[in-house]
Amino acid sequence: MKVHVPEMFALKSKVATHSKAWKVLVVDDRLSVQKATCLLLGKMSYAGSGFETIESYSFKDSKKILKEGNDIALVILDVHLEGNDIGLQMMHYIRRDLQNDTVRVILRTGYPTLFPEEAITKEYHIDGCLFEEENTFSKLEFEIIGAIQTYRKILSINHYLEGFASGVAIEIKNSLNMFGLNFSTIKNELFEVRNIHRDENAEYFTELINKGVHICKRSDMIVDLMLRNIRKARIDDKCFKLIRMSSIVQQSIEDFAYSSAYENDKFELDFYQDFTFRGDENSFVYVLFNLFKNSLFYLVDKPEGKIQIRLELGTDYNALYFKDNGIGIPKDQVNTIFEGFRSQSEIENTGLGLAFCKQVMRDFGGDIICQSDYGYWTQFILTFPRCS
Amino acid sequence: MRGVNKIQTEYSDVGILSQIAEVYVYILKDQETSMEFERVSEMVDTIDRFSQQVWASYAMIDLRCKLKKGTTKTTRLSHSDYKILASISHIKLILSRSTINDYEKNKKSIFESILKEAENFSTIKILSKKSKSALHSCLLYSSIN
Repeated sequence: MKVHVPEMFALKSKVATHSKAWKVLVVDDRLSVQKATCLLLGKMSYAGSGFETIESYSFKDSKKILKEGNDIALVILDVHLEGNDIGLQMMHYIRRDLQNDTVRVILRTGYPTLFPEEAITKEYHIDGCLFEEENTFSKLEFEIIGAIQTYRKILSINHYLEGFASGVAIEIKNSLNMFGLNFSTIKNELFEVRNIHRDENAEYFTELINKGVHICKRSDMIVDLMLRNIRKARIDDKCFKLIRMSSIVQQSIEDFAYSSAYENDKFELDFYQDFTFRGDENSFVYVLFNLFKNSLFYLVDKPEGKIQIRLELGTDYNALYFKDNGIGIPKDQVNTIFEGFRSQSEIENTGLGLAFCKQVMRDFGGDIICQSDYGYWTQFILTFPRCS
Repeated sequence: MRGVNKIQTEYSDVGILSQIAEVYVYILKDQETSMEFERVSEMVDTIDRFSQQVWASYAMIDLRCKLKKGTTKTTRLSHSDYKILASISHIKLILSRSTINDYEKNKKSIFESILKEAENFSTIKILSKKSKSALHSCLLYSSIN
């Protein structure tokens, strides 16, 4: 059986190569620093490619450059640019707002301030520090090459993961296609060959078959979404349509693959302030499935465990509140759970789910935030721009 | 902070900064001679060595007074002053990687950078009034010319 393989699934046989120059963004308000770095980078090369320097003298410009250029390999950031906490704001912007875990960062520092360098280095995956007082080309060169090596490794791993995921996706899509065909064959056999139209179970069989076909289609779309997740592709807003929130939540609760029969009894729904939003149905179902999966995982041994879903109308944004009384999330992890490859349960998840949820909600023009009281509850607030 | 106050008389930074100001004044006053590659490199190197002396003196005070590393630095210099003082090392780096031909090509831009550094240097808070006014008059002369 041949399955149509869209372009996005096509396996790339070539190993990740980097033919263009390595782009380095230098964030510093000093002309001499920009010139010295540019001079050094102009004479350097790594893995057959040279370096391209992008100069930025302000936080605002840097944000714009980073937002527009997703192929920047390295940022050399003066932590004292404009103010004491600008380095912190910049790192927050790169890793949290842009969710860019690929770009490498080297800090230019040396002046003791309130800037918690050690904590920031761990929290935001910093590659190195350049101390102003120990300024030499060899030190700068050493740090840059180290960071670019890491960047290149990340690119290769991502490339490998994409190829691997494409392979797995093709196999899963193949199987789903076969399941779908088998459902059609069974339907044909029952209703056309054996003519069970008048059978007392006919309606039941029809419902079962239709549900099976529906789940196959849904799963097929979710495989597509997961691949898009890995490739960090954006959702095309041309495919957005108006969706009634209560309907999609209800449908997702029915469609979710529960690990035990009583799990869907845990939901408490409050649709009193129902609303519609503009978005992609399948992407949002995947967001909900992720939230269901996470909550139910921690409620499995908790008979009194509940998941409350409440809708709320707002002035500019409507909101969906998703709250469970599971184990909660430690305070220091609440802000990082939307970053890629962050997971409380390292064994069960890759940690990609919530990062993707964040991306989907941003693509819809909204957002998702998390609140938690460790040991007691976790609440996700999903916001959607109001539809006129 | 008591420790810092106690050895206040031992601060040598103002004196060293005055010496740096003198070098800048020399560069700005005698642009014809100081524009030669070797001369510029030598003077920039001298400024860099003086700034290293400032860092070393701060580290020594921290050590002697059993202060947290960097305390004297933050007491004496604001973070913008710190950046200004550290910046000359970047011009030193540029010169150290330049050939005479490179230098001749980029002479104007290098000199502009030094001028900018001198201008910034004149704003350092602990710099003596005498050094500041000497620098300012030279900067005014340079901008006119």
